[in-house]
Amino acid sequence: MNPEHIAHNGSQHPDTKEISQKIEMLEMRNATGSMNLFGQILVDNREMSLWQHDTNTLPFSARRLRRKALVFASEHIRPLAAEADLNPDKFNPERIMKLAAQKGFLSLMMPKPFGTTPNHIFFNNPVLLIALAAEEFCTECGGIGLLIMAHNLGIAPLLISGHIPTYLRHLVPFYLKSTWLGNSRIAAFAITEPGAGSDVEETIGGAQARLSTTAKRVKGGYILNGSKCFISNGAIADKISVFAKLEGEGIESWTCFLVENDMKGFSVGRHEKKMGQRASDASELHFDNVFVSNKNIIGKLRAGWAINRNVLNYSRPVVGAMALGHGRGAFERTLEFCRNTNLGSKKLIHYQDVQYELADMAITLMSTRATIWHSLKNFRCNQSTASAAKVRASDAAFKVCSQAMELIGDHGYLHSNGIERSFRDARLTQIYEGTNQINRLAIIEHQWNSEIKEKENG
Amino acid sequence: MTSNQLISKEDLIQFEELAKAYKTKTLGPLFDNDLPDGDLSMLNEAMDTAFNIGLCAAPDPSQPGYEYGIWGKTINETGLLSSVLLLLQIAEECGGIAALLHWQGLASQCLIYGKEQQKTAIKRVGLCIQNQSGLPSFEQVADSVEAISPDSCKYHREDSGYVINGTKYFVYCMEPIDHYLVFADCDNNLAWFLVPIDTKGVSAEAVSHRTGLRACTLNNVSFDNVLVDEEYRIDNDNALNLLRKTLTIAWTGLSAIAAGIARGAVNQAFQYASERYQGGTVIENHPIIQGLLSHSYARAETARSMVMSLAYLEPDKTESMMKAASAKLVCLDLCFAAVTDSLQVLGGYGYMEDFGMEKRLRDITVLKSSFGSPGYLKKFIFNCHKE
Repeated sequence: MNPEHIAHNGSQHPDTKEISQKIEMLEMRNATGSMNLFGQILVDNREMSLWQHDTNTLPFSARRLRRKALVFASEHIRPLAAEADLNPDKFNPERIMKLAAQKGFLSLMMPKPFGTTPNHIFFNNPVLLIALAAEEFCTECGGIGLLIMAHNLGIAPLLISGHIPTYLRHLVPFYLKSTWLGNSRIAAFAITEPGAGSDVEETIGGAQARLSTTAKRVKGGYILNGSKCFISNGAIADKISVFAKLEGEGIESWTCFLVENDMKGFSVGRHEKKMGQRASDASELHFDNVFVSNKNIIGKLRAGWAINRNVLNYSRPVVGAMALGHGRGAFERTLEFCRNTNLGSKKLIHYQDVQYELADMAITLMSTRATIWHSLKNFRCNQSTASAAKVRASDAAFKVCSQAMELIGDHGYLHSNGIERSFRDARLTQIYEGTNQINRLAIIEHQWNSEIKEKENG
Repeated sequence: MTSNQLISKEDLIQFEELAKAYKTKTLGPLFDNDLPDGDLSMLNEAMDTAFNIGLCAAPDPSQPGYEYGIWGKTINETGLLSSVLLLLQIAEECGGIAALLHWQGLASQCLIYGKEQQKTAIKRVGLCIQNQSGLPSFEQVADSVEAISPDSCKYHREDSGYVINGTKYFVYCMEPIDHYLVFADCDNNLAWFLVPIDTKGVSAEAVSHRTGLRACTLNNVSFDNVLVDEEYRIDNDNALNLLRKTLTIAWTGLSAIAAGIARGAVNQAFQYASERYQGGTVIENHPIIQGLLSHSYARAETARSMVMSLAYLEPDKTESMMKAASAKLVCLDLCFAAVTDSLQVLGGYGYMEDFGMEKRLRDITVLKSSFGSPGYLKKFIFNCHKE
């Protein structure tokens, strides 16, 4: 008789060996033996983790990448996570970015041979592998995960522009260096301004946005003036996708420019101190008469708003995956705590109310993953499903992290356990890439004509 | 119903004015910088001021706060209302400092309630109740005394005193501490001991970095064959009753702090929404923001009402413990939701350290889990109800 076996089933310490044996007989892995052969084939008694179960549903190359990202995260990110969060000013991201480049994680936004995504995966959905990696990285550390993912966000406008000259001038050379040489040059994405946060992520707000960053046409290019704020990787990026309106025009003239960090007049301002995801910086960028040549225009003139909005359609599922990682990290560390900690005579893991909470968290994570992967089923990311995935995942992650902290009481808020770090990290996913309120409006906007607005006669 | 009518309305207004003045004049400079938890190097001075103006209770009758400080002597005659109001006010500015005053006051109240003895030179006391697995098992506080959890501090008699062994965890205290008040067990005989920190065998280990309430010092305190004289046992053979009262007041105070934090957050969110321009207008004109603000307000005010109802409890009754536990369980949920929604109104700025909103979220997150997790409270309420 195994007392732990009894506690697992939540029963109240039956005294008899007989009841214990009955319980064991009734467990599916044993009860199945009494079925006929075909019935037994229809029962899934495989003992595997939920991670493995979900991974098995992916195409082969995606499975392989997911495992590779898991190993990378546990070997290289996990040892840095606690210290990078506690002392972000002392954290140097260079080494981890170089490792990420060597492993191909900085060049997933293009298909082979330019990037590291297999063609059949890329043309199924260009960001599926990025989302898989995002979840693994952020399970260990949200800040380091953001460092790597913000780089992909910075590159995204180059790809999304669909502009062949941009591909040939910038995207392909940049990626070839990363893919073939393990070059860890970093990119960043700069849209937010001090007076325009939500406004640059939503149509109605955008039409009334008060933008300050302008581009004035001069011979051979444009002069940029203005500033951006809350830019992830802003302080360390080599190349920044900067969105500016043309002088004398409004947001409809927004154009994307590729600014290099050594261009005269470009400077990094204040580094924001965030509640979480602290290993990644969020900086102010200042543009003081920065000359950007015509060759550094990403896509067409005045295509910036559309590029920006479409970049968000591709990045929101990834942010959802990052949030999922935060939640999963909190869950895994809580599970580990419950395995190792006694309450009275038995481990926490054997208490039914603890099992209930853990199961509830697992359900939330599984259903969130399903929502995110669903949004990545097509070649083009859909605005509605992308926004839905981001909202669902970020809210779910915050809920799971809160549950995890509450479950283990006072131990939950100690930095050393790594759970409160996930909690702080998860909270940001409800805000950036468009607040969850803005993302809801994005769904309405996208579905308006097809199913929201009043039906016409008949 | 206690004799809260002995506190006049004018007196209550004076209490609130005292707290407001302390908030503005003493705490204001602490937060006049971009440090995430204020300038903690000024904390000692702020606490000295709290003692001097009678806001902070101490067990020494010569101290200004002995009677009217938070959880001072007068709560035994006039109820908890005045202390609740003080905590509500101070927590609007800083949950950590409110928590400091709360824990100091609670320890003082235990000493005041307990055995009469020489209490001069006792000023800052750390309350040691929690074991590694958390608060004492609920059976013992619901009238019938069952075995305490195995990892509790133990004591036994020796010569003319007692020897204490074990470790207490998550002891919130105000530095520089001079005594610990320890709850211990000897074969189901409960006891409370006052232990000077320089007693041989006492050692404290600072708990590592944590999410919030960073103004408080948080220690794990070990007692290794600590010998104390008879006079340092303070419970008058009524240790269980003292524990009951302590838990009730503790949860009442934590709920009050949470309600204060929530009100501070909601006020800040309303202010921000009236100034921030997005979507063609100030954001308070957007229905989505109005919804967030009003829901936050409703939650914060409901929590506040619940806390105010606790102010009339008789703390040493089992029913009062249940109400206080219920309030902590529900209030913290309401206040947490109010604070996180208030943070959402501020958008990216809400997440940045220099706006002060993320600190409120961190503080209330700690309050939710500390000194009785939701799981513990649910079990506690169920067993009290069964009794």
